[in-house]
Amino acid sequence: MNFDEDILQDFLVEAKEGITNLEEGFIELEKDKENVEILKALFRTMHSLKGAAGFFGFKTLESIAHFSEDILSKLRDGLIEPEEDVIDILLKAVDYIKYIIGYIEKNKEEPVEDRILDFLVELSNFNEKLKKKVQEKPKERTPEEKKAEEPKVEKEKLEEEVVEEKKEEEKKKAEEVKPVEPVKKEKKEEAVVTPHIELTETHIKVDVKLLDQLMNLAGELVLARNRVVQLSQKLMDEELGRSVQILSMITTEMQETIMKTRMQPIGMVFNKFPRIVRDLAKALSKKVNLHLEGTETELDRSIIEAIKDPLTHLVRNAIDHGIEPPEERVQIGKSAEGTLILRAYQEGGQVVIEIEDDGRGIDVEKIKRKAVEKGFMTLEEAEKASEKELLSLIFKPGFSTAETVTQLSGRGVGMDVVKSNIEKLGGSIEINTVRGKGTTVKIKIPLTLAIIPALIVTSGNYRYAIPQVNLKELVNVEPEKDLLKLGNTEFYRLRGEIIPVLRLSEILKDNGKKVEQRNLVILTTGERFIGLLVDKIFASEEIVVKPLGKWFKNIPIYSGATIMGDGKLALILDVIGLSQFVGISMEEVEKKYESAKAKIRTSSEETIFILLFDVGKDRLALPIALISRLDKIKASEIQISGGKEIIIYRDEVIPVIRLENYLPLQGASDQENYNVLFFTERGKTCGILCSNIVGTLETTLDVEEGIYNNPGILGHRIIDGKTVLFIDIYKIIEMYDPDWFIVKGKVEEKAKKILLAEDSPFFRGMMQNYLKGAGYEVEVVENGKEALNKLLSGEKFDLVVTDLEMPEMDGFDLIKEIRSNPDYKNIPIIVVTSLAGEDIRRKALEVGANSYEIKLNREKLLKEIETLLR
Amino acid sequence: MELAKKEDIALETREDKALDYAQAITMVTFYIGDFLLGIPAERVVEINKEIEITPVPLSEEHILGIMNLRGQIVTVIDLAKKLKVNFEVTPKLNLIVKDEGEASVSFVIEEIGEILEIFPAKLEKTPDKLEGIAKEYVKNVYQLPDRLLLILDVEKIIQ
Repeated sequence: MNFDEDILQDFLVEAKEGITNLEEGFIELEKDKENVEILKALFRTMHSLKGAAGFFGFKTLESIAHFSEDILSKLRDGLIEPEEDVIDILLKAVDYIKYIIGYIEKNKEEPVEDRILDFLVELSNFNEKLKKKVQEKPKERTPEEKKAEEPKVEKEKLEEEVVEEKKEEEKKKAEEVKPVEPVKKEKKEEAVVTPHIELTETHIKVDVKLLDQLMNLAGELVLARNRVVQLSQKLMDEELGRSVQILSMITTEMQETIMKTRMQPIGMVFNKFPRIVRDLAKALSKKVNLHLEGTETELDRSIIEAIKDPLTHLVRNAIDHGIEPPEERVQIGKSAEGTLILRAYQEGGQVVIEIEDDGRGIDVEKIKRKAVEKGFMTLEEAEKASEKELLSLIFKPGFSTAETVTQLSGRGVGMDVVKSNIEKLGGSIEINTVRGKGTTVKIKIPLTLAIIPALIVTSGNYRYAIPQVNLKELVNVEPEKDLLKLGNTEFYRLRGEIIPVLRLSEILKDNGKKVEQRNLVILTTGERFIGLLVDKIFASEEIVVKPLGKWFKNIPIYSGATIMGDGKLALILDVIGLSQFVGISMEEVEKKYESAKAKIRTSSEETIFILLFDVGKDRLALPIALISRLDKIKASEIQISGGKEIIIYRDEVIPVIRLENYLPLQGASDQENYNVLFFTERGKTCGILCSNIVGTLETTLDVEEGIYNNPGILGHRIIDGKTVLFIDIYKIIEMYDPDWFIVKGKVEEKAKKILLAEDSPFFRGMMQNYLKGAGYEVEVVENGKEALNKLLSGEKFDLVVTDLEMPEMDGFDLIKEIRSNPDYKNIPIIVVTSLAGEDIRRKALEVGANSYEIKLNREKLLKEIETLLR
Repeated sequence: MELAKKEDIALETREDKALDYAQAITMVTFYIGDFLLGIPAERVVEINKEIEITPVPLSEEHILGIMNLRGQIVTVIDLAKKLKVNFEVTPKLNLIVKDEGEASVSFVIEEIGEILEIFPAKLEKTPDKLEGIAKEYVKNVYQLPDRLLLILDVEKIIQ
């Protein structure tokens, strides 16, 4: 038989549940024979079982279920009474069903055994007999039924008659069957006994409270053990030592095992979905194929319970709003049957659950309109908003995009509740959608609420735990050399990315003796990275989270405490709380902007750290990521060699560039000390001389163009009431030494032509300059629409470099348009962004980009262009 | 006969004080500097000597940190600081106090006093001239033969 393994598993799970229901139902029925509800429920269960068995082609099972269903229907309709013999044979049927299910689970096929067939015959005969009886009955019953308000006595009489009749029949039947019966009976009993072991005895129900209590006790035991260990070490008794060691091992193992008892496979929830999906799809006349992946992924019980509702909601949404009706799907070239995948897997200390559909995706434009309509955003804000921002609106209370409110979803409540429920669990939710291709909702939740893996670090004499979830990597640094200090904030360059660094000892105001901190823990808040310098790093440990008292609620940097193996306490650090200690926050920056008017439309998400510095009276700025080091030098250190100013810095001759020689600046007055910004590329370093470092700012790169049209200046902006010139360091270095960036031996016969689409004037200018500097012919446009028009105008380009976040038409749509045009379906496209992110990268590559680079990483981008043009 | 007499006396005294005892409150007393302070015994969970306090940086000054009481995290409060008594406590004892609905709290103290029975009828208002201690945390005072016992307002202190 060649059916899907997953579906079979679903069937088995459902069947087992069904069996439990049946058994319980029959037992209830014996207590309360008149209860029609129980009969109805039994009938439904048997009916589903029959249907499923038929679907898989399990003929014997289907037949048993069929006859049982038949008998149940008669019971339900009151045609026969739930006499003992009827119940008996039905229970027997359940036992056989159980046995067959158990057999299928092991062997993936039905058992072929005589005793089952014998039972089937027996069941069928019994059913036939009942049928006859029922057929006889109406003759007597009909006249009586006409008089509905019959006195009770008569009815009872009738029932007595029926019973008597039955008894007679039974006798007959017993006589008929008896000769063969004794032999069969033995076999049957076997059949009844075996399934019990296979299906029920491996699991028992336990009150979760009991498990919690066990876990607490295990914790106590660990502490008691620790004390015993310490005592035994004092006593130095060898025999005692050995027993304590065994005690210790068993304690640890026991603790781990008890923790595991709370873990359950997510299949517990997932397995409810085949049914939900089937019903929903039917109700909406859609065709949906559900795949369950990673059902064995384990989660804490309490979390399993808590995600059930949010998941159901999301699945409903996917079917209701995501997957198109079959006709529509066929029209656009998709298969009529939509695919819905529920996927679970572990990632670090978290479980990721994805709900992926291949439906129409979310119409971001529609969200935009709705946002304005409903007053969530002004028209202006909506136009500027990124896809991510718009998608996040879905989670706002009172926001729903369903055009018509259906019975199933789109009532405007729900997604906000889904989000808050997941956040309550310490999880997060995000949506990725590709128009026309589908939507993926990704939920990340901690494995367990109580026990989390954490990295143990120290500051001073105390240990602190950092949840593994927030951990990105560990770096060994030399603070003096590797950290840039700008203003009051320190930074670390991690593969081109500039990460603000905090010192744990400073945050904790630990005034103990200063040790050199070389351990940099790179943390992620989910939105940004921060570095945390700590004294020491210990191993990762599973910790039990304990809440802190009310006195500590207003300290944002702790999320709890934990008891370490030695009984001492360690505070658990809250990474989001820590991130509040990082320099200037975005909000402050934005406040400062409000005075500066006439913003150029650019993605508000594109923020980078810039360095503000003065040369004489002029204030200048450039992205920190471009600078490799910062240092102070004495004026006397500047030497003149070969007609150029140089300094000797760390045994290297570094040429010094004075910006006033290339830009319309007054220039630095003579001073004793200068600051030097070092710029390194391909092993070559030069220094930019400046009089004063003002500080750093995390900001967007909205600059105004026009007033300063000098090469080397990308634009200006007013920050803190002072005009700041944003400089193009590549251009300036090129002006200083035209050969600086020229790589030897590269002679192009004809310059390749690049189309650059970028909305930010700052990046546009800078990239255009360095691309031209590298010998390419560059055409720049400000958005996707212009880029497309350029391409369609017939102008030939060898390569497209595009930003993602642009007005009019964004990078994703541009790529899609380009790829759908036969003339350009093979043109190399490089996506550039200031945002690094795996999801964005994946999506960009999905829609057809060849490569994905960071704007400020000139060297890498040029290399990639070279590779793609080869 | 003598035996009977003794019994009589015992009975007498018992009867004598029966009324008072019914209303008496047991107080756990301790010293901070020169002050003798009292907390109703029903609020005290235990007194122990295990002083292993983990500081919680950035917390308020009177919070010494947290400690591990058999798997429970207990907040440790420097009562002298909280009561603004000018006295440096050398933590020697933990007076673990119940906090309804929350984890217990520990007051660190140096010296424990007697366990006393006091009679509510004899409680007096906190005198205005009481100095050297934050009066808002003193609920009542109680005159003992040789000195004044200050009854603390536990609710207010752990609020």
